[in-house]
Order: sequence, then C-alpha cells, then structure tokens
Amino acid sequence: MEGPMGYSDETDESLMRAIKGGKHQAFSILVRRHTDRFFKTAYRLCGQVQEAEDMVQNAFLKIWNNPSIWKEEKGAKFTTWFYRILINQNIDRMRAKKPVAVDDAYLHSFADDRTTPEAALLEAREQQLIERALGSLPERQRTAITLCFYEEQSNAQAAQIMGVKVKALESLLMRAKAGLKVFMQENSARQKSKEVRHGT
Amino acid sequence: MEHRPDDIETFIMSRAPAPQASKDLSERIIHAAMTSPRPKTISWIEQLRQAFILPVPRMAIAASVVALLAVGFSGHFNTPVQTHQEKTVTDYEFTMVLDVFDDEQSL
Repeated sequence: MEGPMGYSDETDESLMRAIKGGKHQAFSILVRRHTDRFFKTAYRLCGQVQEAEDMVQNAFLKIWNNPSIWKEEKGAKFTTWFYRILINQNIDRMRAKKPVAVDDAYLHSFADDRTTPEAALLEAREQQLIERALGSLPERQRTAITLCFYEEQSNAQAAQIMGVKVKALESLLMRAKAGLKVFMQENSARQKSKEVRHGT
Repeated sequence: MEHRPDDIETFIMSRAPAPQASKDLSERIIHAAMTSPRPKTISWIEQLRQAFILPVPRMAIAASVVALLAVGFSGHFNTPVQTHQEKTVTDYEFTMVLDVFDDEQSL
C-alpha cells in the first residue's frame, strides 16, 4: 500500500504508470506539480486567463480519463508530451474560430506597478502592441516563439515538441521574426500618419 | 537559448510575464477528475468478443432455431436443376450425331 505521500518523490513517468493503474494519489501529485507551469504555457499560447485554465484542465482530464494515450515506449518525457497536448488543444480552439485574444485586464494590472499613471498607460499600450503582434502570427510560428523564448526550450527540444525537424523549427522562427518586423513597421507607419492627421 | 539578440528579440522578450493561475486551479482539476466517472478501457479482444454476444439467452435460442430452419429448408429445395449451358452442350452434341448419321445415309 502507498502511504499518503507515497508518490511525491516519483518521476512524472512513474506517476503516469500509476495513473494507468487508476491511482488517484499519483494523479493529484502530477496535477499539483505541473499546473502552474503549464497554465503559463497555455496563457502564452492563447492570451486569455480563463481559456488557459480550461486548456490545462481539459488536458489533465484527458490524461485521467484515457491514460493509455501516454506511450512510454516512445521515449518522450512527460513534459514534452504534455506540451504537445496543450498545443493540439490550442489548434482545436483556433479551429473553433477563437482567435488569440488580448487580456486587457491583466495587462493593465501588470502595468499598474509603474511609478506614474502615464508610465503605466505607456506600459499597458506597449504590452497590448506585443500581444497584438504575436497574435497576428500564424499558429505554428507563435508556438515556436512561445517554446523557444518564453518556455526557454532549446531548438532541438522545441522541434521535438512540435514534431518537426530542427531546420523546420528554425525556419518557423525566422518567418515569425520577419512577420513581427513587418507588423512593427506597419504599426509605426500607422502611428506616424495618425500623428500627422492630429497635427493638421 | 540559441538565438542572436536583435531588435525583434528584445521586443519579444519585453512581453509581460504570464499571470499566476488561480490558487485553486489544481484542486479544481483534481476534483473534476475524481467526480467524473472514468471510462473503462477495454482491449480489442474484449471488443471483438462483445461484438458476438447476443443480449439475452432467449434471442440466442431464437437465432439458433431460425438458423436450423434455414439449413433444413435449404436441404429440402436442393433438387438438381439443368442449367442452360448443360442443355446447349447436349443439343450441340445431338446435332453432331445427326450430321454424322446424315453423312452416312448419303454415302
């Protein structure tokens, strides 16, 4: 018999084996261990707090309801595999015509830490611009950026998560950066024309 | 990371950190998992076996009676039938014999 904390030192992979055997305790430990980390990833992918929470919850429930989808013999780490589940959930979400959104409430609360209201407003605008720029990217490019920049995965790890070759991942990153550059140029051109109109 | 820093990378990295998840998110997930019935996974052998199981014994008996009757009737009506092809061959052969007979008569 496993004690109340019997699984706490176990690896993710051995917890998954226990979950296959229907052990609630193992599932609880896995959820408590990874929820915060994967919530952040989900938020980076979809841009909404509520959506991100739903994505993480659905992914964990998928594991509990059908643990046989975890194929240990394929050799992928649990975290690599879970990233894939989240990415697939985000693709499904986007297919259901839910675009990447900007969580204004969170961005304003983040910007409120600035010293003056003007600085806070500028920061909130800057953050909205970043979110819109990233949201304008195609899903795979955005995922590549999220994994390599915000999740701090190496190119090889990110390529493994996305199921592509490293060269393909590098190409996605290059195109994503080019896309962001174009977005920035167009945005600054819009800003300039706005300023000219207000000036006249 | 394996990236060369440039303007765009600075722009990407200036994104605000992701917010914290709700404090009770993990507990909500655990609760949702424990309260929902876990679907039972069955092997393909079990699935195949279930495909052949009849729901009640009475249906199995009825199915057997129907099958036996079908076999019995198929034996009853199984009389030899002359096919079109057999008939044609016989006619052809008969004609050949007549032709030979006519030839012999003419000689």
